[in-house]
Amino acid sequence: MNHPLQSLMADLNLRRADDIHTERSTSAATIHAADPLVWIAGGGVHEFFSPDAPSTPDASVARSVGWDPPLTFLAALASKTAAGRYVLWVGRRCWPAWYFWQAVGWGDDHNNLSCTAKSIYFDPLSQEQWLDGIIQAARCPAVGLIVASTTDDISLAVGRRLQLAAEVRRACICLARPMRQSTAHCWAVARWHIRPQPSASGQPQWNIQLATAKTNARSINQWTASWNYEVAHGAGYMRISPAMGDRTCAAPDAYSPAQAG
Amino acid sequence: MRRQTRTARRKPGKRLTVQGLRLPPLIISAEVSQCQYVARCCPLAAASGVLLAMNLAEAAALCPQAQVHPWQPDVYQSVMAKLAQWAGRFSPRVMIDPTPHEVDGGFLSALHGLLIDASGTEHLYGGCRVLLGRIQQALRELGFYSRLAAAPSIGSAWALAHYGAEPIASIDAAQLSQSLAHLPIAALRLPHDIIQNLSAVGVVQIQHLIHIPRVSLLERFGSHLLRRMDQSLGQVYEDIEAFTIRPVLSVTQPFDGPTTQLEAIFAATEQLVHQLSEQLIRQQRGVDELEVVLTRPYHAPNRKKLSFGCHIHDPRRIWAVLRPCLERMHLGGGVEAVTLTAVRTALVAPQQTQISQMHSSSDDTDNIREFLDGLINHWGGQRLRMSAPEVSHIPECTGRTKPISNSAQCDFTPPLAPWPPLDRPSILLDQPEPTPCVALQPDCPPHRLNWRGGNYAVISRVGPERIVTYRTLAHQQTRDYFKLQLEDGRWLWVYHALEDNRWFVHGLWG
Repeated sequence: MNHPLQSLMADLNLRRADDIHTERSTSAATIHAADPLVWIAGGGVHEFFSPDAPSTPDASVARSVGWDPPLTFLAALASKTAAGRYVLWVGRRCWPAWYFWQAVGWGDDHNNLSCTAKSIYFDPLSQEQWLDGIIQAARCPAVGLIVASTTDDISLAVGRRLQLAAEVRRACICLARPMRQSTAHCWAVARWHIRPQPSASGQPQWNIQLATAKTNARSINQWTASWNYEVAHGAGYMRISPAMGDRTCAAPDAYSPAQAG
Repeated sequence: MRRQTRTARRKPGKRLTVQGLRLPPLIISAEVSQCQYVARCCPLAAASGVLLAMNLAEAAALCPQAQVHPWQPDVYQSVMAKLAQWAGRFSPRVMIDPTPHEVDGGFLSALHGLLIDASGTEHLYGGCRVLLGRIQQALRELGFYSRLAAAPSIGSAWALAHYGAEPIASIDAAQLSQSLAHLPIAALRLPHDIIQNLSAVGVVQIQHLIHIPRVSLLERFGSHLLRRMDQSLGQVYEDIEAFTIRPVLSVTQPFDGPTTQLEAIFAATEQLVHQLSEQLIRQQRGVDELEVVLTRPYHAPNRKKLSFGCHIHDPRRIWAVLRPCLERMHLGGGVEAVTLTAVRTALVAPQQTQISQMHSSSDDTDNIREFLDGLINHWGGQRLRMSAPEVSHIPECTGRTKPISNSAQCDFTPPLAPWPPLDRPSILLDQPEPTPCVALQPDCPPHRLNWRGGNYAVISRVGPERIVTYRTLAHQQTRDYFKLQLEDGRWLWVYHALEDNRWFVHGLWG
């Protein structure tokens, strides 16, 4: 029987499928393999939804300023998946702060250089510019990852254009969107929900949920991601582990009470 | 001794007459954000109360008989180029002044003077004073009013020509500090905002600036101010890039008759691109700015300028940017001819042929330049940006970006902080958001806060980290930063402004 993650990765044509261990265990290797940072698929659009601000009396205020993209996770993702190539950040909301961007992988010179020196920021005025920027970047082989944010609704036609552009050139497009749009029609390869959750460690923590995988809707997984900053080294990194109570990695192949007993 | 001569200004100050004809006052207008402003005016108009950067309607009311002409930067530049060529008779090293002339926030930026390196040539005329007199006489014969200055540095000559008391000034190194001391700080060729900030605290003359410690100036205004000061005082070398006129590279393909066939226009233009590229390669030059002109019957020629991030002569890359532009150009009733003109070119350094085809970094650079050129020419240079942070402890300074629209686009390397990065949020807000907070004790981190319409309990706190900021000499702020975890799990970067006892959210870990 195939591992659910492995089958999901095969379906999504994920980058590091060979890293997955075929045996089901709770070993460190398996947990590492469950890290969504290392297996975001190329050749598709991934949507990342993060919570809106709570309801306010002035709805327009809430729509304009009340949402922030999950930039910590996306920056960590960019440092892992761009592989030394350029990263295009589309939309002023999702431009990572410079000091934070430097802290991602500070100890690794290659990462550090690629993070800070190979970032291009695009500030579109309209959805037409936004779409054109993403599609042109998807066609450019030097761009390793496109991270875009939008609070506008994306029509099915626009979504399909994005998905086709990504598929044709095997580009990876990550869209950050507010949670209120998560019920809209899905044209992306995968949908992720990222919610902050209280932590006792003194570091920010999030719950990451793979809500929809286009080709394998049964494979729903959750992880807990925490941003760890090491004062001694001045470096930060994202630590990801399966969420508490998620047994998709831990359950044996064919567990039965008789074998146990 | 090295001497720089600076000429400036135009047109006689008295009423002009041409063969007894009295000319009306003249105003040159410029359009900024769909509003018309006064960009230049003659002394007659100025005597009526017209000022630079004044609204054109107001100027027309003050001087109703004035003739108004639109500002044409291209024409102005071509006139200055001719003047620079003419000035070559006094010295082989002449340059059009590159200092932008800013009026009202910099809406008008123009080249408006000449820099002449007269080192070693002044003795041919019997000294600097005599040389300046000859230049002034020659300019007067051409119909130009001029102000001239000769000084050991470009900065000091510029300052004396623009702000000196006399229309002709000549100083040597010993008189440099004394001559500049009483001039306004604008004579240092500083940006408008720095001049305003300095004026706000009473620093209006160069002598005031000299007495302020350099470290303090560096911290508050950056290195630009100090560099300009040193250049003017002759402590930092500044060179002239000699003006040269090169034949413009241009290729044309006429058609037998007007055509609206896009394929035919594409084929002809692609052929022109190859021809132009061959000429560029022959001259070891690359094109920075290219103009394409579609000549149409019954319509004005359709012109489009394309800029390239770096000097290129590769026909494939030029065509990759040109083709989408051609698709968007209006053909009118048909196109009679296509013309490509290399408006701006530059020398291309010879490059080693690739030994291996697996040279991926070079491929990546070419690909990204092509992508950027396409996007910049379609949507404008201001939309694409790169990181340009200042290495500073002030959080706002690290969030700066600059447009990728000039030759600097090939170099993406921003400065690296000399120290390891600090624990900073992933999202830094453009403007700190005021946040009412409830703290149990003064100077303690808050227990509840109102932010973006929600009221949250704070469940954990890290801090404080004290940061002292200063935007101007007059405005200094002491901030105590805290990392606060809200009840819903979000982490905010909040500071307490000690001067006015207010709380602000400055960033968050999104």
